[in-house]
Amino acid sequence: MNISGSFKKLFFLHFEWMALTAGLILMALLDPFSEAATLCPVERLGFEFCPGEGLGRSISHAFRGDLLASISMHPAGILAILIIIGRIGSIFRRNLNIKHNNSEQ
Amino acid sequence: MKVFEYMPELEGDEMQYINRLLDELPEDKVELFIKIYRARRKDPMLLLILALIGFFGVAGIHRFFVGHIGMGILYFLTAGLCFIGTIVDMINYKNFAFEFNRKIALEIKQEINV
Repeated sequence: MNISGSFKKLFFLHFEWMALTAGLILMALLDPFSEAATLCPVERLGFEFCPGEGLGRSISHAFRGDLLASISMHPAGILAILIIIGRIGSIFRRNLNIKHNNSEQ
Repeated sequence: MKVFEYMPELEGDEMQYINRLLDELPEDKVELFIKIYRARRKDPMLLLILALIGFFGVAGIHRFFVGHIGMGILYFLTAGLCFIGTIVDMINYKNFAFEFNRKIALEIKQEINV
């Protein structure tokens, strides 16, 4: 297989879960008590309202075990963690399937 | 080579994958497969356009479209993770389509072989 082909394959297998994991780690590292802490590009551009408002801080609270504060920041914070971890799991399952099929052929 | 004649719209990985899948099938079954596959597969370009809607209206339609219900709901509630998710998905849209089509192709092959 040539270089661009194998790069495409690596991209297909690993890009999405890496992006999701990086996002989770960044949100977990946010300081939940600082008003200025945000990853949101909409807020950085100076707009006041964003529907994802507080999600980062909510996830950050949840990682520190403070579930009530997490829910008060953004009700979907805990749900978001579960959904993202579920998606990462399904990517791994897919990759295992692909490996399995390739070794059969 | 056969698949190339039947479905010229396929490209790259998907074409290779379908080619390998149909390698040992007889001609009539290949035709049946192509008919069903063409009806059920999702076009990557449509996915890109659906992802683009995330900037102007409702985000996450493309996720529902390929069956990621959970991620679809999350994108819908947070405007595509504050647009970051939408931008990442616009880079990654071909992979979603390929992932979906791959699953569909395997299912169709199993149905035909029975």
